[in-house]
Parts: sequence; C-alpha cells; structure tokens
Amino acid sequence: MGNGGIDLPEQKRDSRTDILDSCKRSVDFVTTPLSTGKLEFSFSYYKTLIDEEALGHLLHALQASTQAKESGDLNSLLAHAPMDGIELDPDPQRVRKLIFKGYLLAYPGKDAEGECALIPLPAKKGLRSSNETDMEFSVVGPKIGFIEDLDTNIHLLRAQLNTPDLLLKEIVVGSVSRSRVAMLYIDGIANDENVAKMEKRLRDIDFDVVFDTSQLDQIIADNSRTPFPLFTTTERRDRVVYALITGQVAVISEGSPYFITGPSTLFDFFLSPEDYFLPWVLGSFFRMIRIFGVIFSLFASSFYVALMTYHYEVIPKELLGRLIYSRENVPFAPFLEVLFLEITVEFLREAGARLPSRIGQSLGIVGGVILGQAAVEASLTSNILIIIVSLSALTSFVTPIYKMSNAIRFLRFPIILLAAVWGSLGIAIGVCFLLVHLSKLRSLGYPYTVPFFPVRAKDLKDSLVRSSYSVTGSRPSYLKPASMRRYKPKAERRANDFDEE
Amino acid sequence: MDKSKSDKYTLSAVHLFFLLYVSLVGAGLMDFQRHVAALSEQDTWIAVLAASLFIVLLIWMMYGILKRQEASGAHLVAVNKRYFGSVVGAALNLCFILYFLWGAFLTLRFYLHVIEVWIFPEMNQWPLVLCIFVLLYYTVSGGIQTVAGICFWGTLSIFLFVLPQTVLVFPFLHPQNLMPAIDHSAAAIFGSTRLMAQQFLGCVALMAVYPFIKDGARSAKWAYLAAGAAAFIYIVMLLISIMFFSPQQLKETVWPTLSIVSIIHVPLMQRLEYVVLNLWLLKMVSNISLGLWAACHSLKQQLRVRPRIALAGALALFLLLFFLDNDPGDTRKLIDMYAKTGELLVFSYIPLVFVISRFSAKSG
Repeated sequence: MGNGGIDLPEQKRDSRTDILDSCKRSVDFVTTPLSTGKLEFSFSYYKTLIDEEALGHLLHALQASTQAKESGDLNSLLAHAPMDGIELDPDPQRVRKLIFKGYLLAYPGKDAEGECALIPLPAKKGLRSSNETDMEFSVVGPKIGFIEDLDTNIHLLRAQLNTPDLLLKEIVVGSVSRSRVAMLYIDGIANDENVAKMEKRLRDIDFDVVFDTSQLDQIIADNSRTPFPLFTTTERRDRVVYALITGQVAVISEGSPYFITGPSTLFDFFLSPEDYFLPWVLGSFFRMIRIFGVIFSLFASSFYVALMTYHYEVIPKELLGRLIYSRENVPFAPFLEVLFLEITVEFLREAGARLPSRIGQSLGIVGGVILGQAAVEASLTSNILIIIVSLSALTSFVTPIYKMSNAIRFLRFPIILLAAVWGSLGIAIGVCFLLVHLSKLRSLGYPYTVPFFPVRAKDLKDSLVRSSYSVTGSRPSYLKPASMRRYKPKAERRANDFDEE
Repeated sequence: MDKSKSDKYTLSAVHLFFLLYVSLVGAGLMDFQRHVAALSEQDTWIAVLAASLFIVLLIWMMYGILKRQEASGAHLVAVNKRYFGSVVGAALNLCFILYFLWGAFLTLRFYLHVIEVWIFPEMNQWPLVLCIFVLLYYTVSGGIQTVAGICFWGTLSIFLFVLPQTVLVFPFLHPQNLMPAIDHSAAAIFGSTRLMAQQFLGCVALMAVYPFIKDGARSAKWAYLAAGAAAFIYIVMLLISIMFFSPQQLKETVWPTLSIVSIIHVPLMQRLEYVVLNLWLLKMVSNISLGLWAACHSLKQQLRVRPRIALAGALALFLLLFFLDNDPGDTRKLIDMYAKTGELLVFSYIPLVFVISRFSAKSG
C-alpha cells in the first residue's frame, strides 16, 4: 500500500483487493461468507459503520430468495435485496468512497476483482435527535433547529420549501473526512452568478477534515483578515429558509448543525427571526434597540476612558461630583480600571462557555455579584464603571448571531486603547478605521454595508426598521435575485371611519 | 487605461452626491463665517446663495465638458491633453495633481491646528499624525469604492450633527441680528461672494470621479443636489452664526461653528464641541482621502505611476510639509494662497475649457 492510507483520493491504480486489504488492517472491518446452494458470496464491510439490523434484513431476504431459486448469479441474488441504491460493479474509487459511508461490498467467492456490488446499509448512531435551537433562541416562533445529520437537515428544509426549484448540490470536501457538503438554493430566485461563485469556492477547497460548516465559512470568505463574519451562520430553520427565499445560497457540511448563508450583509447579523413574527412596529423597535445596544457596547467603556482621562469638561458638574466621589479611592488610571473590568467580563464569559450549564449558572452569580461588589469595596474600580461595563457586556449579547457578538466584543479593546491614547479623538480614529474596514469588506463579492453604502434606497425598508408586510413584497435588490417579487401584498384599505360614517 | 470600467469599480449615480458634497464642504465649515461675513455682515446669506449658484453653473459647465468627451476620455487628465496638447496638458495635469494634494494637506493641517488649540494644546502630534496617515493609506488604497464609502459616512455624520445642533441653539439666537436686511453695497456682497466661492474650490474633483459613476450623464441630478445640500449647510451655519454672535464678536471668534456647539447642553453632557470636533475627523478623513485619491488616480493616468506608490509618496510629502508648516499663521497664508490659485486653476479654467470644448470639433 506504499505510503499508507491517508492520501486516499489519488491512488488510482489500486484494485478493489488492495482497498479491501488496506481496510482489513482494522479489526472492525470484517468479511463474512454467505453460502447459498451453489456458490459462496463474501460480504466485506466496516461493522462500525453499518446498521446491523438492516444487515440482518438483507441476509434474511437473500437466504429466502436463494432457497427458492437456487441461482448462483450475484445480480439475480441482489434483485431480492430489500434496499435501494445498490451499485453493481463499482470502480475501485467508488468502493473506497462508499465503504466509509456505511456500504457493504458483496462479491462471489473470495475474489473482489470480478463482479461485485455495493449495498447501502448506513447506520445513524450517536447523532443527537433533539433539534431545539439552543444558541439562537426565540420566544415567539418555531424552535426547529438543525442537527449533525445532513439528510435530516435537508429533510427539514424540504419539508418547509415544497418546490421543485429548491436545488441541492453535493460537493465532497476534505481529503480525510470526505464530508458531504450540501449547497442549496432556489432556482429562479438566487442569482446564478452567486450560485456559481459559491460552488466554485467550495470545489476549490483543499482541506483535511471538515468539523463544522464555520470552517468552510472561513476558507471561502472573501477576506480572512477581519473579525467580522462574512457569512451568516445559523442553526435555525426559519433563518435559512428566509435566506433562501430572498435569494441567498445556503451551505452545510455533513456533521455540522450550522448552515452558512450568503451573500450576507452587516445588517443580516442584527436581524432576528422574531422581528418577523411580531407586529412590524414592535419588530422594528426591537431591532433598533439591538442596533443601539451594539453601538453602546462598542463605545461605552472607551467613552468612559476618554472622558475620565481627557475631557472632564464634557460631564456636567452634578454628575462629575458623583464620578469623582466614586473614583477617589481607585488607584489606577481609567484605562487600567476599564481594562481590568472588561477582561474580567471576558473571563467570566469564556469560563461560562466552557463549563457545563449548571456550574455555569453559579459561576455567573459568583462573577457578577461577588466579584463586582468586592472589586468596588476593594477600590479596584468605581461603581459607575461597573454599571457601564456590565451594561456593555449585556448589550454585546443582544446580537442574534454569536459570531457577530464575538466580533463586537473583540473590537472594544482596540477602541479602548485608542481612547486611552487620544481621548475622543482616538475613538473617532477607531470609528474611521471601522467604517473604512466595513466599506472594504465583501461577502461573496457583494459590499458588506449595503443597503447603506452603496446606497440602495429601496432596500432600506427592511434594514433599520422592519416594515409592514404590505410593503416588503419584493426581495432585497442588492442580492440581484433572478426574480424580484416575493409575494403580492394586498392593497391596504385606507378608508377612514370618520369620513364614511 | 480605463475604457470600460467593470462593475466592481463603478458607483451608482447616487454616490456622486456624497463625493461631491464632501468635495464642496470642507474644513472651512468651521470658520468660514468669520471671513465671509466680515464684509457684508448680516447680508452675507445673499453672498452664500450667489456663490452656490455660481457653483451650480460650474457643475453645469463641467457636465457640458464631460458629455462632449468619449466615454474613455471623460476625465480631467484626458480633457487637458485633448484641448491643450500633450505638453501643456501634462503641465496642467501636474498642476491639478499638486492642487489636489495641496488641498488635502491643508485640510489635515487646519484640522490638526484646531485639535491642538482646542483639545490637546500640549500634545506631541507626531504619533497622531502617523496614525492618521495609516488611516489615510488604508482608506485610499481601497480605491474609489472605499473613498466613496468614507464620503458617505462623512456626509451622514455632518448632517447628524448639524441639524440637531441647529435645533438646540435655537433659544440662544437673536433674529434681530439679521436686520436691517439688504443694507450693504453690491461691492461688499460681491467681495463676500468671492470669499464664499473659495469654499467650493473642491468641486473640480467631479472631473476626476466622473468616469467611475454609472451612467455619468444622468448623474447630474445628484451633483446639483449635492451643491444644494452644501449651500443649505453653509446657509444654516451662517444664519445661526449671525444670529448667535454680534457682528464684532463674529469677526473676533476664530472658529464660530465650534463656539456655538460649546453652548449646547444635553443631559449627561456639556461642552459638546470636545466630542463633535473629534467626530469631525470622519469628515476630514473623507475630504483628505478624496483629494489624495484624485491626485493619485490622475497621476496614474498622466504618468502611469502605480497609485499605491504615488499614495505613499504623497503621504511622505505631507510628512515633510508638516515639518515645514508648524504655525497656524503659515497655514492661514497657505490657505489664502490655495484660494487665490484656485480662482485661476478652477474658476477660470472650467469656463475656459467649456468654451473651448464648445467650439472644437465634436469627438467621434
């Protein structure tokens, strides 16, 4: 076998026997004989990959048929096999690929070089079946999420999108994991160019093991030198369906509960499916609260540093008195004070994320209450800063997509540093860098800050506000969808009782 | 060089609004009242209006020039080469490139003087200057898309500040300052108009960005709107300043716009100019980036210098100029020189080329 089994795809000259031999080095690869009246058959398979119950059914069916007919031919034997998708005389490449996907290789005698067949008996063990949306929770609306099984996920999507236009393309990624990566889009809505671009990027991937779709996200992203996620990552079905019907392309890899959808814009990360389930006035209000929260989270503690270090004059004297009183025992510069507290919050978050949920809860109490209280009493920080930092930590979690809230929490630190050096001018420099960076970003070749820059006035109706369904009948134009119309809203009745009574 | 720009580099027509607005409204918004209103006092609004109309006329002329060019030659460099021959045209182009750089440098220098006086009198400015240079390089190296992006945010930020500010200073205004209306001689108003028009010298940037605008000929609407918005901002700031300060005060106040902001109180904040002035950086960066981009791009078209090298060179030149020009008085003189040159290079040049293009043979 030369250089071992790792470089699987390239060894074209191998025969089926070579493949079987190389597999046999593992003890879980078994070859069992099945003798019928005239001939003997051998079945080779990984017993850890196939469904034993299905194998039992198969053997039972075969036994029954051979007793009836006494035929020695593999083909006629397999005609009685109770499963679909049997491949006759596959080439060695195909054998190598499918034997790892839970297929069984059947051949007469002991020679696999002659006629043979691959019979699918895949087992789905060890996959979780609960598909609640844990990470992206919503109070209103469906709570259907995805799980680690690709076929289940696609089933979930098809169950909601009952159209033959929902097309699925499968691409195999990963030289070792050989993961099936599914790319979904709706033909006639998604722009063909986007589909082609996404497919090309996926096909160009050279990687070993795909653990999660978010790795693909990074590999196919337009720009890897950015903290911002360039594709939306989601585990919610409604979000993926919504992305598909607006003309985006969705990608999921086998073994991952997360879809990525793209092209995405900055604002996609601040939408929650709940916005669409609540009346539009409330949906818009909560969306604006969320965006305000993000801005607050980015700048609150750096603003504190700037004001405390350089611009005392900005604070009115009544408040300044309080601030001085609360800070008079703190021996650090505001910058260190903020950094200490912000990093504490990051520790708490990181520890909370790694710990089992029950311990995590008590950790929250320890961190939030005891540490905060003790830090103030020990004069390590001021009361007001505790309020600001905890508020900004809270607001950083209002973004519905976890990756975006990570980006935002990361970005606070350079801005705090700039604020410590140049006060509010430093913050302004940070804002400039941020805006320039955002203007430069592209997701699948599309500008990231659309519909603000480049300005697309028509798409503004579902950006900062979520307008009523009677005006959002068309798809966002920045995705250049093949057809613009989503649905036709009924003309609103504008009669006034006062006029008519 | 740029026959048919691919979709990636072009901008839809609406972005011309932001680009042109930024080129029209610059750092001068902080102190133009003081100079412009010196001559014609409460009647200066007429001057602002007249200057704006003049700019609208210039934009119309620029469109007249640009529409007569082939698609591949509808920009400053090609126009100069076409009408003035390759030698004189090249010299003119170099003048314009230097002029763009000069304008960008003065904006930065002016702004940093304000920062120095108002916020950080003791600070060593070099680290700050270097940081801003990195920012500028990062912006301009992103190309016209990024420059337009920062222009968009710059425009937005000014509108976000100026309009609430107008409302908040309302209680402090004395409308009687505007009386008696139309009390000054035509010469005084003309003098003010001339000074005001100098605020709009950046308008020639239109000739550089034009080929990047999708269906350029139909973008005129946005150009005029930008001129209108610029006129609106200037008139609002002027009227507020006239009603806020007495005429003598206005002559003595160095940065009237900032002095007005400093009176505003909002809950939790006073002395807002510390915050507002810093956020002006966004606007300043957009002005400077546009100037740098125009210079580097024109240099590429004229001498085939790689824009990123040209950009690094321009920033190095800025650094040198920072060593030489350290005094606000010098900067003032440079700004006056810039204005005088601009009258020649922009205000005389555009009508001249307009007339030439009118009578020369129509391009094929």
